[in-house]
Amino acid sequence: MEASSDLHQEGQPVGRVVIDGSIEAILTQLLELLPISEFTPDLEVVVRDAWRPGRSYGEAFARMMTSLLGSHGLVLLDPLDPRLKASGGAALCESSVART
Amino acid sequence: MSTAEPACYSTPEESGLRVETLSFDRIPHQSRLFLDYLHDPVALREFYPSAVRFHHELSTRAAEVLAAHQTDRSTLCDALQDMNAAWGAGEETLKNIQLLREADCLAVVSGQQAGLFTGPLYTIYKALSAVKLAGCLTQRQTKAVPVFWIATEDHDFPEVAKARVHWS
Repeated sequence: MEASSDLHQEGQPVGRVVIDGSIEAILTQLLELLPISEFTPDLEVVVRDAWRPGRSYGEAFARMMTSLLGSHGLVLLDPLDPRLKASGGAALCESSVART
Repeated sequence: MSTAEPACYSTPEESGLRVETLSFDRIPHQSRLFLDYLHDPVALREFYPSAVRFHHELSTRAAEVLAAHQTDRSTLCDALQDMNAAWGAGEETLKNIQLLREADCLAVVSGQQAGLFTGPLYTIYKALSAVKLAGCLTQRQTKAVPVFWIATEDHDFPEVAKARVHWS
């Protein structure tokens, strides 16, 4: 499965790529490819709720991660937030990630 | 294999599954460095100065890490609070953001690009590793919360545009 390259403009951060209606066909393809189990209905809700047309790639990713792992207390960080850029908080985390 | 088989609500034994442990050195094409690290990370301190034998030993580095990584926690946590709440975060996440406001709280940071449908499976493993390590530190009375840094600033769209399903 692949999102259309037309969604992305040269030099644009991927987090700001806006999902369009073509995601519906990709979602359908994903659900057809996955094996059916008792988890399928819940999984479909998680995926469809996160990857909606009009949302940014960053938000869709964050929403799906929150649905999957939020109950474990995971904190998600989007470095595109202007407050984080100004405070250097994102750079701090980036340097920490680079050490791992 | 039927595609309608129930997944693992029951234990492997109850469901009749055969469970075996396969060590990494039995998997082809593993690098020597990786296998050496698994066997004895401390022996590789020349390359990984902070390596420890057991995760819980990382708690001894808390003071050093806190001194080396200083930031405006109030601004950072205000932003984290807003963005996580907007994404539907629950009580556990919001509680951890509050904890991170405290000057002696560590952040166990992992991260990955914002892949389609979360991208490769190791994205989930990386996030869970941060959760596990933060929990391990907390058990040792070292305040720690798991943070996942989304590489939204990356410009390489082809890397995040694809998702593959592997099923056998």
